[in-house]
Amino acid sequence: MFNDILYGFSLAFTFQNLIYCFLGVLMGTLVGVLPGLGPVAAMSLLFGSTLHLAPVPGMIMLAGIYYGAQYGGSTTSILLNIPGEASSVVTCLDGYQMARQGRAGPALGISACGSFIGGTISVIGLMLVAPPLANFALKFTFPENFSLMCLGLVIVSFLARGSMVKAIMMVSLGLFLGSIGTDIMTGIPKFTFGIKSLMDGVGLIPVIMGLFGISEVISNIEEGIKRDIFKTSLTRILPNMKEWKDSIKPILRGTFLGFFLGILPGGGAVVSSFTSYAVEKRFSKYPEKFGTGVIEGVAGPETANNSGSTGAFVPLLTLGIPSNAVMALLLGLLLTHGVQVGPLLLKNHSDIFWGVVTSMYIGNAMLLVMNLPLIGIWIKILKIPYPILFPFILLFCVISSFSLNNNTEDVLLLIFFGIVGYLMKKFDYEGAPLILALVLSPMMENTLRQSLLVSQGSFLIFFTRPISATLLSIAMVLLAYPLLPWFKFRRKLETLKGD
Amino acid sequence: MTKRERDRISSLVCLIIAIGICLGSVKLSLGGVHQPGPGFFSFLTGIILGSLSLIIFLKSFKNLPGDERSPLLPNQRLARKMLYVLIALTLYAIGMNVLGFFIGTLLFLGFLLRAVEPQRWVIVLTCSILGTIVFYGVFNYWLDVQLPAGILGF
Repeated sequence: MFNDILYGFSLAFTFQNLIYCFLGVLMGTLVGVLPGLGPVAAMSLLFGSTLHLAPVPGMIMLAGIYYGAQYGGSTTSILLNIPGEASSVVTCLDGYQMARQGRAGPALGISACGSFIGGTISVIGLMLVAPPLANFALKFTFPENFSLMCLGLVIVSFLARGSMVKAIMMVSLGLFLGSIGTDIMTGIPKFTFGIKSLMDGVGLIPVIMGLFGISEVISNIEEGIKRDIFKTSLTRILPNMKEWKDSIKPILRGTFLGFFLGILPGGGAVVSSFTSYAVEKRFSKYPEKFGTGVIEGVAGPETANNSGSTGAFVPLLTLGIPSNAVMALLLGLLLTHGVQVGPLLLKNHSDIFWGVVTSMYIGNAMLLVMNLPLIGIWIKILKIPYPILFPFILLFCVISSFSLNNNTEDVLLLIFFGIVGYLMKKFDYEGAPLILALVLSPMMENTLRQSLLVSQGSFLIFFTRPISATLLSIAMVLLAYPLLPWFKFRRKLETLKGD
Repeated sequence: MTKRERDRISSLVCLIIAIGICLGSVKLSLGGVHQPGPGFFSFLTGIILGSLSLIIFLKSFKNLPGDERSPLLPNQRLARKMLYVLIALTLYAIGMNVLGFFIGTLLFLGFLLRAVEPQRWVIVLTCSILGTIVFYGVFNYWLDVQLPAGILGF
């Protein structure tokens, strides 16, 4: 493994890769700082431009945006009480209170240091966990892969914020959208309605940019973002000894918790940060003080969201299965370059795995430099009024969609999904399960049809093979879980009737 | 509109979409389980979507405690702004090939900066001209994207 790490560093330290790593983390911090433009939107904006690059620098840049956004997101949470992106929501609770008490500096400092520690330790975790997991996954054939993808989609629905039924509806809609295009086995066009650009399937970029970019802009205009930076002195950024002493345990707990939660499908940075906050509150000697400006409430979640964003790379790089919308984009990039994803990625494309993983060390170091001494610059950027910013976000969305195939049909698709995304928000439907299903759909359709061909039409093939049966059983337990309260309620009702 | 009413409308729309998916899949040929046809997979997705939509639709008739009425659309002024954005996007998408990137983008940025949250003319002109030049440079020269030239040739 030592040789592999050295090989990775030799790739990551090339001039081109360093530049793209820098651009990625810079863009990431920028979108993290700017409310209303999350990492998914930023990555989809730059997705088109990475297609012109080789897979390694492209992946390095997109990955940099993802973990860079986790650093930047904390700035707006602490200074404005507005989370730059979803994984920084809990940082608002104590971070903003710290800023109000004149301790914005240590809050920003501990979140940058915690992010650095969490980011780097979890990269080591990724290096240790990924190779054995990829070896195990070599045993997977069509039924196992199908069951694994089913489980992934069920977990994503299970962890969805709102109703699980609605999340599964979005999964089925995503699976349908992913099946649009020319049928691989027969060559028949499916649901293309004569639209030329749909022959190759529904493009991932217009859908993601529409659901996350355009709809976000429309929603922001509707709400009218009011920004008021809390005026506080930033004389001291580095935390003092007492603050370090209070934070070190939450940082370590956040690192491990974040990494393992990040591996779960649907996990990643958001779930990690929320869970870390709950854990720190439970471990604390003074849980009642949480929410009033406690440094542990910033250190734990900010570490966990960075660590979780690295953990999310495990299923992508070992099984070829994305665990969230960001990973779906990275998978899209690899597929566009004709890279065969899955357990063989580590063997056949070791440059991608080790190059990207080691670049994360370098990226984390760059982020620490960018976020501590240069914090003043990010605060200035925060002052750009949204009414001036949003036309440029829209322009970026349009041009990036247009540049995919140089046609306006993709742009019209983008606008259509922008409206759909806005309506989904209004009617409480989440976009993330749809995106994940859209990416997995062609693979799922293929593995389902191949499995049925092999078993001569018997669905039992998914239940007679041990790994597949285990995966599907877990999926079924998760699906049945929301019914438990209903069963309990009925039993209680029957007991009452009996009495 | 209450949450129940919103659920009723959205589930009904999804149900109609699901029926459309199932009918379209049957037309494509479902094949059999021994040899699934091109419509097989999409038919399954339609069945799942339809069944779950039905659950949400039926659940929407149950009383929800504390289900308060809230407006679905914003007030007229904000709705008009949102409409401006959508109209500008659509016109830009359709007109880009005719007007070309330069003129199209200038008008697009200028309109959004002036119409949605009116900025001073100096800001409108500076931002739209500079923005167009920077975007052209980045996409055309750095990223090698072929931007539409339009009937005027630029």
